[in-house]
Amino acid sequence: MSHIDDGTLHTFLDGECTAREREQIEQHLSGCDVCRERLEEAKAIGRSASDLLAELEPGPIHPPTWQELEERALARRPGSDRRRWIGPSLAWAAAILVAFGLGWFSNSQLYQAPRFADPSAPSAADAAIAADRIEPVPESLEFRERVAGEEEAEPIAQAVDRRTLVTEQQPTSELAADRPKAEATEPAAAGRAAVAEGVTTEADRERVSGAVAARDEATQPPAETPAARQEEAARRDLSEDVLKRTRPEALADEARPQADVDRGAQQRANLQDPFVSAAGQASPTAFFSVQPNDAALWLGGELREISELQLVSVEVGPGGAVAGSQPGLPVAKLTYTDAAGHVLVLFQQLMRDSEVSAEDREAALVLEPSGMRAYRWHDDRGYRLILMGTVSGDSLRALADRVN
Amino acid sequence: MDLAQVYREHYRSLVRFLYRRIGDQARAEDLAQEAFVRAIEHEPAKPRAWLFTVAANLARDEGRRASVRRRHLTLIKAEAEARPPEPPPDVALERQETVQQVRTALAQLAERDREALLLWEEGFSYGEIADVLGLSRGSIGTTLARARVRLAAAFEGFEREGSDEDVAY
Repeated sequence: MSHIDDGTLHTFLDGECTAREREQIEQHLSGCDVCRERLEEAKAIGRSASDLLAELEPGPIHPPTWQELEERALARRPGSDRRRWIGPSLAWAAAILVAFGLGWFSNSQLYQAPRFADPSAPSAADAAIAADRIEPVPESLEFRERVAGEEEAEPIAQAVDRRTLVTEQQPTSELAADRPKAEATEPAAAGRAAVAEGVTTEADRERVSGAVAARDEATQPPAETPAARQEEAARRDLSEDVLKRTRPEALADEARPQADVDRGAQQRANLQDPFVSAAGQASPTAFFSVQPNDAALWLGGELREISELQLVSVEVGPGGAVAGSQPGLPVAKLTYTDAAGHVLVLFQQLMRDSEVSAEDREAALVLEPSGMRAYRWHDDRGYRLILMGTVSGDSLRALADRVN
Repeated sequence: MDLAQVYREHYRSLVRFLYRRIGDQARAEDLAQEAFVRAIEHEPAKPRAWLFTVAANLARDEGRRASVRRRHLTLIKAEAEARPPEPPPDVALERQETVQQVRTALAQLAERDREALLLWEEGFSYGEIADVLGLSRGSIGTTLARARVRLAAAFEGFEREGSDEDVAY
């Protein structure tokens, strides 16, 4: 009589036999002591194998949300909406930034050009006339306004500088000839005319010293003159506009319900900090470097740090720019390096309980499209924290325990 | 069953399968997420079997790449540096040794045997195991019997070596 083979015994024990097979095996076992003994051995081995594998139980698992996986799948699709959006947006952003950079560069070159040594340069009268030709521009055209501001500031510097040079070499009558042209201008030009008048009617020493003072004033850094301040404000507006256009998250921040914005503003207002209160912003539109104390003010609470790591930089930026963060609230970004040279980034936001969904409260370990792992968690002090790095998930979790 | 539901019900199981297969939990979670992302892209008819098939393939690829091994070693080193020191009680040390022995014993099995065993432990039926591994259903019982016997024998071998060493000391 042939015995039952091991495979069939295990199939029998695993409950994977058909009814007919089971009946045949049971019939055989009832009359075969050897196979009954082997069946008991197979049972023991099966239990042993299961027990051994139970030793290989992973630690706590922190799954990402299903939505995050869907977003990753979407981002991979060739011709996906996101890719179609990213390409042209980046191209536009690059074009605008290049144009802006060229304008800045040429502006810098103008300021630095040797104005007195060039014999072919236009005279002071020409410069004043050129200034007079500046036409008012619509306020809505920020870029033109910025350019006008630059052009307006430049002739002042040129005119004063040239007059300073000329008064040391030429009779004042030549300068007086410039006066009517300067006077027949808008208020800004009237100021320039007053400077010219001062130069022509006072004693030479006073004339020279006054002109030198005026030249020094005119050649101060842009932020020191009204026109330059206007230029700087226009440039900042333009810069922010560019950032908003290149970062839709910033627009999303702006589009948040007013109540959320008010709440964030209220949080900071409670700090009674003049810097934050004066800013009046619920969230910055781009990341910028700050001191740790300022970052804490932006957060509205204590800045959370990782002990025993080298802090490289502290920045504050919009929550909408960081995956997993709350849009509309500022997020502090702390960059560290560890002893092995790994870069680790800790994002943090101080949130109120009502802003945190149950899903967000669960810790999650995700693999970012960039290849970095991110460990996200929400602690009982009301902070939303994200620790990113090119280290393992276990390392991130261990480091998360070291956040103060 | 839609994929989101499969994710909720089987993600942990997939991570455990991969963890037992490759021994690195973080990497196991990475690969499990990768398998689900691919499932979203492909929308398979039998998602659970498909996911484990992809995961098994990813785990095999993982094992073949020497560069990944080097990176893995680097990560282990980084983990050792980053992880706070834990108290070393004897129990934890003994368990750590047991885990290492089981891992080594499992590594001695043939790839198909090992995967069949791990899939069975994740609740797969013989038919599903056959689908995932491309084997006939009739051969699964034999495959599992062989895997269980070899795993138990290999582990007992380690234990015997350990007890011999204890005597020698």
